[in-house]
Amino acid sequence: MAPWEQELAALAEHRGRALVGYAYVLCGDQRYAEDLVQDALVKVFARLRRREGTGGGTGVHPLDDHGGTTEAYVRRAILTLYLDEYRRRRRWTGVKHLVATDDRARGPESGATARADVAAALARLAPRERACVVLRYFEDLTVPQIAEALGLAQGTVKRYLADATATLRGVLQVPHQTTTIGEAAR
Amino acid sequence: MSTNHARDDWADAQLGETLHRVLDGMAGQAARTTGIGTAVGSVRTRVRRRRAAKKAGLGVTTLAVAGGLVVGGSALVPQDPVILPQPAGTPTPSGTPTPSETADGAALGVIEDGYQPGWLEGTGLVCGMAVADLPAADAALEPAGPLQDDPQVGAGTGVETPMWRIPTRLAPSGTESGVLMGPTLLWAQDGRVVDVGLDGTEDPVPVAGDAGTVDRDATDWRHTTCAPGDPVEGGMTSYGTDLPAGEYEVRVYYQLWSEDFADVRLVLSEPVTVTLDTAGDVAQ
Repeated sequence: MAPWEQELAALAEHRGRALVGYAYVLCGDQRYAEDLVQDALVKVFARLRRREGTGGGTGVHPLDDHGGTTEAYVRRAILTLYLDEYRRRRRWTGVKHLVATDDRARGPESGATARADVAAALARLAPRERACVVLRYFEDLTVPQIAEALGLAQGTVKRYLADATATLRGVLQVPHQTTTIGEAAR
Repeated sequence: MSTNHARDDWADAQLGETLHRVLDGMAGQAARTTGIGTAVGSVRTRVRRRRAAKKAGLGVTTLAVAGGLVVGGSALVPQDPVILPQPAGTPTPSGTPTPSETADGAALGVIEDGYQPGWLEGTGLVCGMAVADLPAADAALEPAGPLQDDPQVGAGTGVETPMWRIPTRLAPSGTESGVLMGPTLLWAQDGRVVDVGLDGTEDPVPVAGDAGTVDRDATDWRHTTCAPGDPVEGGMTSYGTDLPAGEYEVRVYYQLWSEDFADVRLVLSEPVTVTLDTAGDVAQ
């Protein structure tokens, strides 16, 4: 088995679920998230080559290596694919209503309901706003890091975050709302 | 993870913490229910195919970008070739040469010695290598016509550099099976490889046993894929450096991959001598 295959297998086994989770909070759809992860893995691993002087063992890196781990490249690829996909197909409108069915039946004070409400609210955000929220509050990146990741000015990132959190605050500060996801997304 | 989002001036600490917790919960739920582990096999197959057929220099996007970088690119309309035989010159330092700036026969001076485009990984074909180290020519592969500038090649891609085509015929041995990638052209000058051509294998050709001959046009362009430029969007490599005018040895070649994409060998034709002039016209 080639080194890249070993690394791919290990990454998928140990970090595949986490990558799907990351993709899911970006796109809001389980199947789409899995597609994003698979496409990102293909994109990154198709560009791997053996590190110089490793003698054919472990240690592969993307051709445009600027440092960082392979998982970091895959996460970056997921983000890029997500934003590119939106730009191409405006698919966002098609996944607004797609959240876990189980969440709709839970009590309003449960964490599941909070997730459902936030999921619905996230679905109303523009993709770049959503990406900023995910990078800030899920990946815990700083504003400068988000700006670099998305190729945006820091002021633009702050504006996106301010607008997005204003939208999300409205959802999160309704203490006992029993709105189902489908209703919230309308 | 840190919780430095509490310092954000657009959100209070409680909102930040709540968002963090809820997003973690969403991700966790998706992670628990995913079947991504079962997809590794298909991902591996896709990676193998892409690594084999990688078209780092040929995608329409790259063609358009690279074409836009050409200075004084020639028209695609074929003209009667003007044969301008030129002696091989001394290699000059590489830089950003244009046809008018580069000394004739100085291809070695514009390439990156030791560079290998991604789609050739595993083949052993490397820019700058000695032609003596190439696999022996395979009599099963031969050009079936002259190399010519063809305006139809690359039409609609925005390419402003000459693109060439040459019909080829491959008669597989009858015992060999696998997947053919190509054909394209390998250019050599002064006994060294100076251009490895295009990949261009959107449609790999499976070959199995005595399936008969494979007739395909080998295509190439004047930009050498031994002189990589800056990456373009998507991580692909751009190529915008023209082969300088001069005399070259040109071989048609395929990559022949095993069916499981684990092994590859090059299938090369005998070389033909081609003279490239400053306008990009070729003559044999």
